[in-house]
Amino acid sequence: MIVQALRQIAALLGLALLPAFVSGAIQLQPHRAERAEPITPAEILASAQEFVWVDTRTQADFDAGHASGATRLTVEDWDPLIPPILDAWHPDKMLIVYGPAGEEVAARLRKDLQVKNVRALKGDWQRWKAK
Amino acid sequence: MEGKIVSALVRLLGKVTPPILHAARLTLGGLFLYTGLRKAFATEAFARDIQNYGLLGSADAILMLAVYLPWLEIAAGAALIVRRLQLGALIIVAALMLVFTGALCSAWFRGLDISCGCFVEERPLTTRTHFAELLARDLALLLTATLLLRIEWRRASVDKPAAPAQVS
Repeated sequence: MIVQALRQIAALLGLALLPAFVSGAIQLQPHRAERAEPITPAEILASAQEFVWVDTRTQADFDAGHASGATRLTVEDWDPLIPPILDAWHPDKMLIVYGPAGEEVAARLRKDLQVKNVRALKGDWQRWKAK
Repeated sequence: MEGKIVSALVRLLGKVTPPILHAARLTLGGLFLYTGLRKAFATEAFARDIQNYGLLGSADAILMLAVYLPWLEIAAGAALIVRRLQLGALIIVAALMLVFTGALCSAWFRGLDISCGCFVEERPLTTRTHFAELLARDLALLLTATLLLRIEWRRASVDKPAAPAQVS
């Protein structure tokens, strides 16, 4: 009985896999295009560009310490938090997004601002911690 | 006299119960098929709904779930309707309902005001989530799935061919 049930569950899980794979490949293609390779601290240090830092962590974490000049932005509070970032941003400046939702927020910024100069940080931001 | 009434009631119950169970199975299957199809073609919106629960941290995990879960619902719902792989489908449906109910309770407990993600519907910002209603609906579906699973499990046990007798 249990073996029969497990076989049926496995069959259904497998059946769902193929259409999910096709659907995912079709629907997430543009989503993938919005993503850019994360930037490493070494690349930042080697770059001559100016940066605008975006912090995706909670308000409490942000208050406890953040990168120098960073502005908070989360997907949940997008509308109220985006204006200060737009004020600080200039097309020549790169937006560097850090925190657990870094890649997601970076992808949305790329989509919403229609710019490619937005990268998520791969690694530790503490090097740029405000003194 | 009493015996006649009781046996008439048992006969009536025997006649009425199968169509009710049949309707319950079709309703459950149809609902899963419908919600699965709606979500399957609105992956990004569904991913946002999952993200709003705040239970999964990784964006990749959320996306994978948003892509796969609707097709699992479709497969389980279709299986219930066409009466194939019913036992597995009912276990999946009951397990999913358990997870959905748990996630809903957790969102309610944390005071979140989010769309439940069941139908990826656009929720007007002015309306608040009625968790009690959503929870009642989920519990009713969970109860139906569990009841059908119990019946199907029993039926499958009875239908199971007996092991051949050992020859000494």
